[in-house]
Amino acid sequence: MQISSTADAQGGLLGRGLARFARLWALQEGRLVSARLEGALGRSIRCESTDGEVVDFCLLREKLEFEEHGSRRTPHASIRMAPRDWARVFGGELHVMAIILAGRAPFPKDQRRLLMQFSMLLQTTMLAGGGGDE
Amino acid sequence: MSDLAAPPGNPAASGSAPSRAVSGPSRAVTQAYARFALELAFEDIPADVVEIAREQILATLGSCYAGSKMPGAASVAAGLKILGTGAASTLFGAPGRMPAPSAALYNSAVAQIIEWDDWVIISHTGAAVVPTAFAVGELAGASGRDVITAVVVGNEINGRTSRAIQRGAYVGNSMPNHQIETPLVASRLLGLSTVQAQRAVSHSGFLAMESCPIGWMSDSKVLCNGLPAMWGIVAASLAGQGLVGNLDMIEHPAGLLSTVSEVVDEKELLQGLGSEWYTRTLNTKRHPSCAYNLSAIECALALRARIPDFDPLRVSRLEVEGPGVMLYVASRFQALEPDVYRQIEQEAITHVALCFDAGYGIMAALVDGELGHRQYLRERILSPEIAHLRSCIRFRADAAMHAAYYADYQYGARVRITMSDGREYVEERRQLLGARDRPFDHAIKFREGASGLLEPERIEVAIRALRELDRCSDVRHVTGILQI
Repeated sequence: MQISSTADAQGGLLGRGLARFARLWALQEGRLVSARLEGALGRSIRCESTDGEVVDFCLLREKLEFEEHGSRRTPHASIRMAPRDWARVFGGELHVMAIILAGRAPFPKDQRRLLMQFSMLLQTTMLAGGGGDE
Repeated sequence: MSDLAAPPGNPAASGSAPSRAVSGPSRAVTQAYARFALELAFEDIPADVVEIAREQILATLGSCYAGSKMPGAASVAAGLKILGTGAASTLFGAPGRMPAPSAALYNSAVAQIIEWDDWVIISHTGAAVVPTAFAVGELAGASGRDVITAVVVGNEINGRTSRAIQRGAYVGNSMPNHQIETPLVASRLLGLSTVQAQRAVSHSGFLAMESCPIGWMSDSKVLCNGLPAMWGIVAASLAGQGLVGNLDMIEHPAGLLSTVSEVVDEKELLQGLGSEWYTRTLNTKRHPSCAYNLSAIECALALRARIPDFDPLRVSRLEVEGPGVMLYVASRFQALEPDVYRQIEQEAITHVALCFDAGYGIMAALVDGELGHRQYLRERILSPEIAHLRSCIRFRADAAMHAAYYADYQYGARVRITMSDGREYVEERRQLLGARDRPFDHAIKFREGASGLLEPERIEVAIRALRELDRCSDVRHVTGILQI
């Protein structure tokens, strides 16, 4: 069963991680988005944890726009990973593509461009920090 | 220029314009490329571009020799014998000669087996273009000028196709575009007509070669340029013998580029062809590793040299900062289970995975004070020094370096080492050694690669011959010096 999560400190692992990503992303004010990576903007992305938590959002240049799960059409890309992998991704140690290359997350042909671009933007944001002692 | 912010003062655009510019609607890209490939005269190429191409050849052959010392190289040479024997083309680093397609594949494979190949704009070229030009050049008895011109043709076309697909699903410098330039390089040297060259591109590109990402952790990766090099030559031969192919395989909405990329910026394909020389954007590498790692590796080598009595086992903290793309590449294979080192030990994958791992290049450079093919052998990879340093290393993205990479192809990095006694050392580089704006002497690289394969005196003779390649009436005179 899927559990729709809110992206805030009271949410689950995904909700907390993406809330932190959203804060750090906003601090970058779009500086990390080159033209070569902007294909990731304006696309709906669904993050899922194998424990059932689900968070939908749209990545915009200067903010993340969280969406109520099931409120819109099929997302442009879905990322489904185990909680331990999400934890390493939100810690910046790994990116989503590393989990995919380890064979622990799907990599559908029609989602590859978005997954690769978002993967880099997510890790760079988490490692660039700027959020104080978060 | 593309949507990717072009470097201010694009080095490709400097210098005088040659007499033979190519223009026309993007719908005729394949034809325009074929004409450019066949009609470009050596005399039309600016002198500085010729010089860059000569140096590119020297550096690429150095990579070939170094790569030939890796265990996988012997397997490639032996395995290719199934394609037949012949004496047409030289293997750079292995004894004997082979038919041109086989030699091109071998030389391309060893040129990149330790990731020591170059790139133009954002796409690797030398490992595809140079082996193709030499293999076919020898087959055809081409002059040195013919071979140099073919290399420039390959660079110019490769750079443009890479810009056209850079907004697709390729966030690094590996592009599935070599099936375009290699048949055109071969077509020129084989003396094909324009239509035949267009057909060669069709045969070459029909089965679009996209690499499977997991192959970048094994020796399979050496085929990413090797197969297009080999197949480009075969495709040109097929076209030369009359096999009919499409005339618009590059630009057609259902053609090669649209098959391999979600986005194709058509305006890039003919931008400045024959007047702006993308060969001027050539970047070479002083050390073998993915380009994104090289500044950090140079920092590590500098730290190794300046830290008194350096002992890798006494490092307590190793911090690396760089652009996001470096960290992306560096951690690409860090989620494997068992981990990348264990899988190398088990021969499930090879050192190739570590060619893209910034951490490994830094650590190996710190341990040995050098980074060459030896550092990619199992003895070093599985050593206790590397195991210790792996426990100390941390990465952090530098937003300014990230922006500088995407704005102006600046490959920056900063490495900070803390020793167990509390001493702290930092090195920073804003650009990699070998970048267009930070060159080094490629003879050094050639000597390192050829060392142990050619006698020292012959190495120097070879360097001189390659730097005077345009004076050679038959490239086989030079390859005779290069054969081991």
